[in-house]
Amino acid sequence: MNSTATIFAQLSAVSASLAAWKGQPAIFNDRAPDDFLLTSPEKPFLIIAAPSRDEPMETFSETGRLILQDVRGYQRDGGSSAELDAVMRTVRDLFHNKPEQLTVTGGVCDVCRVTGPIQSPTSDESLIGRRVTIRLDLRNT
Amino acid sequence: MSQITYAKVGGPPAYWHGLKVIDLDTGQEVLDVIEVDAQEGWLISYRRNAEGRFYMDPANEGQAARQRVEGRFEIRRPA
Repeated sequence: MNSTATIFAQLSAVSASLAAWKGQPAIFNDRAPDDFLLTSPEKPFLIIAAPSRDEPMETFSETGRLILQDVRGYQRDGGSSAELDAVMRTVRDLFHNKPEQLTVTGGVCDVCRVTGPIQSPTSDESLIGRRVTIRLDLRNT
Repeated sequence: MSQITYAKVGGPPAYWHGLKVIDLDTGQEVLDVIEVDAQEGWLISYRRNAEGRFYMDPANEGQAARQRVEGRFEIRRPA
């Protein structure tokens, strides 16, 4: 079960609100490419972080994983975070208490809960950042 | 081979995965069990909602909802 793929698929719903990179919505894994950052994108872009927690969640007869994984959003600091905040609230709403809407290869999602968006620190002072933390209880089928 | 009287997800016993818990009063397998003591007559299992999914315990955020059930149980190794 690939939680990153599950999250990526659900994020397609916010594609229109994001910057583009090579003809695709700017949704990256772990970090944004330097070439992308050099283009100084005006619209927000997203990063699906590696899980911060990935533990077995099992019964005698079922196997599954409890996963915590962040989606971070960034945008060039133009004096207002309103656009980025709106995107991240939409990201939250795509997942929070909507396990039945997620596509999980090899399994199902029993629980999906989200905390945030809250501030996400950036190493680039020209960017502002927000993050949501998604909890996924995935069960193998 | 001695009868198992206690089992828990993660062990003991070391071969816990695949164990079956049978309700001796109904003859049916009890699903979603995470801990069982056949000698004392109880088990703990996850609860499912109307859609058949595990769900969060509203009174204990962060933990899947679970229940303790008392009865007559037998722990069986997988065939």
